[in-house]
Amino acid sequence: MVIATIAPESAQGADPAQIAGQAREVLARRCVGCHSAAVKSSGLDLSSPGAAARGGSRGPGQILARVTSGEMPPAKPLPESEVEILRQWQTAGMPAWSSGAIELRRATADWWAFQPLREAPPPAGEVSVIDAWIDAKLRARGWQRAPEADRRTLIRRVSFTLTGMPPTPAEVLAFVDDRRPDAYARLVDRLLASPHYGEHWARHWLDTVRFAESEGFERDWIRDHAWPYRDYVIRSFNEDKPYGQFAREQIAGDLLTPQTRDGVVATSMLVLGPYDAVGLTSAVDREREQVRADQMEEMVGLVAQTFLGLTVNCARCHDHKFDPIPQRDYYRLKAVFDGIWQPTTGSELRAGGRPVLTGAERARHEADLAAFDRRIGELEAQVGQLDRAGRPRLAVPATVPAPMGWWTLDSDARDDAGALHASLAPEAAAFTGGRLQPPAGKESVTAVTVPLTADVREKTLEAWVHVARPAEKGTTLFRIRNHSGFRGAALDGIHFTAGKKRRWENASTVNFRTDDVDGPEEDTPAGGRLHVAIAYAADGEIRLYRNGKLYGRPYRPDAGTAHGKLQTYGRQDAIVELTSGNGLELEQARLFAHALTDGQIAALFAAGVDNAAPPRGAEREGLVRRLAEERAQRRAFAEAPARAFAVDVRPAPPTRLLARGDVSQPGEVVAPGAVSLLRGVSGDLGLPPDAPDADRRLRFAEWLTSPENPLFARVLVNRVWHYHFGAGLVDSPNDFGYNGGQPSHPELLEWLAADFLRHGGSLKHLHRQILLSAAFRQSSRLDSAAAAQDASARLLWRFPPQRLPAEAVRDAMLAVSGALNPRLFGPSFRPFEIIKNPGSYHSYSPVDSADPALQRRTIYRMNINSGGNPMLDALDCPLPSVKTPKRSVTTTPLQALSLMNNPFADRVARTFAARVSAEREEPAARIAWAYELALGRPPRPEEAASAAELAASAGLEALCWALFNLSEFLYVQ
Amino acid sequence: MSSKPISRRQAILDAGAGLGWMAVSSLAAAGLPAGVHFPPKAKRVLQVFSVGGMSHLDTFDYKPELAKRNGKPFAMPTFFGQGGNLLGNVFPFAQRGQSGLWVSDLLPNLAAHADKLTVVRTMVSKSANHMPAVACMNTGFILTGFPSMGAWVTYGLGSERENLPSFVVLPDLRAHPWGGTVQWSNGFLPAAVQGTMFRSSAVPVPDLATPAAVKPEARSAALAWLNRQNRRFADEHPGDSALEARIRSYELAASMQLSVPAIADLSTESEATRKLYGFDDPKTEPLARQCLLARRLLEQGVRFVQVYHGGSSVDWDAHGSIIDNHTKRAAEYDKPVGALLSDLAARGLLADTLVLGVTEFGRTPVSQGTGKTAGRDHHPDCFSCWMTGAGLKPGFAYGESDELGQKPAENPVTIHDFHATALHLLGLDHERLNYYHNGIRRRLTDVHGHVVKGYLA
Repeated sequence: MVIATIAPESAQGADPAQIAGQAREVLARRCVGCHSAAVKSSGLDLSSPGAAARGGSRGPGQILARVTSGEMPPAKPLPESEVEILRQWQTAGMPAWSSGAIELRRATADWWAFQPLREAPPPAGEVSVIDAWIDAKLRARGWQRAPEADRRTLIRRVSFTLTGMPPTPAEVLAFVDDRRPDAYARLVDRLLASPHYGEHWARHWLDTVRFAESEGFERDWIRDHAWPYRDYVIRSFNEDKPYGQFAREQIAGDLLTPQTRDGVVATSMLVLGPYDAVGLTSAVDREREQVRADQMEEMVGLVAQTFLGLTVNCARCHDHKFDPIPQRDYYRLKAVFDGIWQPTTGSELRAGGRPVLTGAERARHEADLAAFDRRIGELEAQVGQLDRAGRPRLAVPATVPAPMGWWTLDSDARDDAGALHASLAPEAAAFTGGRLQPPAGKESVTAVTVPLTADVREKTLEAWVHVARPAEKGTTLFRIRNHSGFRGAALDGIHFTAGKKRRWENASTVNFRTDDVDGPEEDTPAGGRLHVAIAYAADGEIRLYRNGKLYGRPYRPDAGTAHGKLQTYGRQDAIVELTSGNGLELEQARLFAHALTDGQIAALFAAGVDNAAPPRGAEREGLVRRLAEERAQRRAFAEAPARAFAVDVRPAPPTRLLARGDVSQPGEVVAPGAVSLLRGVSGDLGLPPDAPDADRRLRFAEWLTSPENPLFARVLVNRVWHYHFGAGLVDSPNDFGYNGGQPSHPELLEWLAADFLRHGGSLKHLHRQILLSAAFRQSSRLDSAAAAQDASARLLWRFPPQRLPAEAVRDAMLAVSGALNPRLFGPSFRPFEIIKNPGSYHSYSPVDSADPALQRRTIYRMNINSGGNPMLDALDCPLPSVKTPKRSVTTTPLQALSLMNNPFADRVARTFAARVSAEREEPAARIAWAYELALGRPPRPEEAASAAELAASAGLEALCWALFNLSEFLYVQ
Repeated sequence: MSSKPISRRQAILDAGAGLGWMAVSSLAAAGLPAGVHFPPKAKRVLQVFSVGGMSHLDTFDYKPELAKRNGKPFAMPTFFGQGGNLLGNVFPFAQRGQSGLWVSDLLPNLAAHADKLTVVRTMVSKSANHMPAVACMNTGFILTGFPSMGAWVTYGLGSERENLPSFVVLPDLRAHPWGGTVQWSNGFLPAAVQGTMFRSSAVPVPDLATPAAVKPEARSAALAWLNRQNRRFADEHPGDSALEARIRSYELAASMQLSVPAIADLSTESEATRKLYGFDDPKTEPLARQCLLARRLLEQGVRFVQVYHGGSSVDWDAHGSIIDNHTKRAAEYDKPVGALLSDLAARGLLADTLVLGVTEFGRTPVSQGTGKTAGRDHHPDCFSCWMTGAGLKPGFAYGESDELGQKPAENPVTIHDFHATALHLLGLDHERLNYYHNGIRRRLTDVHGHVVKGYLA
């Protein structure tokens, strides 16, 4: 932030009140952050003239000296104009200002959340510590906790709270009839042991960590392999995994437990944010750096908000406006994660996941792959030897320089001139008639070489082509390209276009170097043979040749511009691709690192192609068969391991502080570290700036989960509280800083956090503490006096009624109707059609069907950014990519329309009616059963009568539909 | 209990009374319409979005110097890194109307409205990449997850008609814009303010129609029964405003089932009107439908209507031939949009409607590609948007780009400034229209934006 400096009034004639007012402004902006009434750094309080006059530990009258010496404010000396104001103020005898003491509108180091956990003894006389603190607040206001809710209400409430599902009528009855004194505790234990517990609580966690199964941005492609993380979260909740371990695994599981697959899967949390595939491959360096910087802010924001309740991301461009988080802390935290990338780049990982193997498995897997490669290489060499032995030695005319690559394509795609060997997908290997041919049933086949071993600038691509049939589609037969990405990657090649005119051209449309050279229409009939070459000269000229003669006119793509520049194909990056397709088949291809002359091209054409079919003895056929088998086995083997959308670790460049967050203004190098605001917990991780990724994440995970870090437990217990009562003790679960405010029950929050740590970070223990409290068990009855002052019941004078979250609404409808498919875990179901739009952009159109795969719980639905569902969206389901620690709850006509008319709602209401009809005979019994199933209670007599009337006149399905639309169905009391 | 700096608007929303908020009566300050910070010039917004990046150099920003230097080399960074030589305007320009506003021959119908138009020629965006740039124009941010302007306006002003959505989106039926539905998302604002997609078809809104298999009389009986049960439940649970809101939401839903199809039924329009918009030509017919529907929605009091012309890959993205691409797109765009402006003016709606003709970025002064296929690359550093309607200087061009149209020579208008000014015309202070989310009081304008007084009447 740029702060305009404050200019002093001219020294003469400035009245004391004016000087005091200006001094107040300077002190408020520059000094009171540390020298406030509350913090009193060095014992000095500058918030009022009186306190300022008293001075700090160094005694009075020191202010001006510290400022003029440049000692204060630290590292940010005041502009001279402001020093002058303070000077005048001191000279005038520090006159008082009229507008009162300076109040900090931001948190300082003394903010409650940054202090160590402090337990206070609870008020005496209560069984539960929770109730002791809740009741103390109620008593202070003269209010009373509500009496315990009735058992039907209670079992419905606790079932939805723990499992997100309604109790079955049998479960309701069992609880209502259970006369044992610990009936309720037993109910809680049963629900905590249910696999549905993890399913429901995983959804809360997935909201917080923005679990998205598509990449967002322009393309929004699906991430096929994100779901293992969802299963990991469900299992972690069900196993009651200690929270510290849960957190450490998500930060550094791949390093902590390389012997388990969960370790790798857990790290998905870091990388599930949006992925700007197009921006990250931009030709413009700035654009890519910007995209990466945005991605890192997303990741840093996630970690800090989720585990610390701190909005560290707000300090990317400047010191935090409300909390004592210097900009430097943002970059320290960013450095911890600077080696982390999403597993979406790199061709092998296109499917959006990386192999998940334990350390031992990985070593064995790699050794096995190497063995495959060795056997395949040996077989290829044997075949090549046989072939070469039966053929005269290859030569080019004496006037032509030696080629850099020479692919005869007689029996394989090996380079006969050097080592630029090409390979094919195993099932695609087909060399017949001495040329590369697509396998049966395929339109085309491509062989891809290893990367070049030297840079290529001027060059010639030359090919002999067999015309199996006149091509109807455009085909690039022989091209060279830089492999590192689509944008900014160069490409040149021999291309046949079948558009308005059937002709040859240079393939680089993507580089805007293509032009129509006005060559004649291609008319070689089926069975014919062609010689085609393109020379790329050092001055940018591009010349096409056909059958030894110049084809059309030579051209330079926009001379003097980037188009016109000769492209460099880099060593270790550029590859050559050889393709036969759409009736055009390569017989031979050669790459020259020279722009050949007209005469040299003519000589190559005159020399012809040596296309003698290689000898095809039984020995060779046996070798070829074994080769095909080995290749097929290798592919299957390589694809066998499970994949996950987990971290892809790369060497981290030095992390630099960016002035104003601007990637073009890099500053000092920053070492990895944590936040510095916690009292008694240093944020210094003792790491050098170039520490390896493993040290960075392991140290941070250790720091994060250390018992001395008070935020770690506070933030979590507050989240858990929030999901029980609909609001947290701190009502902004991701922000414990100044903007998050004070907790409603500070002592209770401290005790819950300390108790949670004492019990090893057990969530199930925490649930029991809360669920067994009288505060949770009380009814939701209204107390008008309390409601007048505390309408949302944050002080818990009653249990606050809550609308079910979207997923629970859908799940309850499925469960009640009997349609629910209870299958746990596995790939996400996809209730949509994928629409692949032009421009590689995917969109999603919702579908509904009775397919059992689509009747699973909503947690297993694929979470697509642009693939919303009208009913779930209307019920406040968040966007997958948005961190949502707290959902909004709205009531709208569109929500009503969805519950009324959505195809799912309509279908499931019918299923419900069919179920009731099948399970009960008598009309009255059916109505009673429908009530029991949907609402967990029998109908009252007048309800039974009117429901019977509705069922008789409009059908049972109309009644079932109406039950799903009842407020009582959607609200937990 | 909490010092969290939430606004009164947010407090009302957070209390769960979505509907009470939608009617915004509770926000009405004495003497002012509901929700505004000061007296507004415009009550509603129509945004026409040209997806893909309409070339400012071939539409509104006439650059004789660029034409003069056509074919000369010029070095500048471009998105694809393939910048060619300078390329002058490929369509002739002329000064139009009394005002003499420059508009090219590409847009004759829009040019006929020149004296009503306000053109900003110094727009600056933050991304040269389609999806983030479209998001930037919609939300002020290049990352997803932020509320679009229609959502903010709805949040700020509520709805004039409670049985119609306040923010309606009319996408190009050929393709969604890059990013799809997230472009009209509510972001972190409550779902109630998200854009509702309308199509000019029998069921313009998802889940609007009663399923075919349900008999109307059965549905009426069930709704009546449902209403009685919900009424009694609310009576038994006094003090829960959400329960009252639910009852009301079903009444409004039923009302929408009648009102929405009636609005979407374009057959009631006269043949002359349909011809004016271009229903008789397959090129113009699709956008004509969207534009006519837009007018009907605005007439009925919908607060914010967004019309998309083009979507991913059927758009103004003229990397290849600028002549082919822009001729084709303009032929679809110009007539319906011109007709819409005429129609709005004739009905007196322009007096209190703000019309924003936007695109995500302009196009480079240098060519991309060569010879017969010369196009232009993405260019966020300077481009043009047009506006008309309430509170603007008519027949006026604001800001001047440099002699090549590469950068603003004066008065740059960032997307944040553009948004701040639009909100200002609606009676909203962009700094006070905010919503607390994960540590920040979020605004449409982030921490930037100034109201551009220079083009206000």
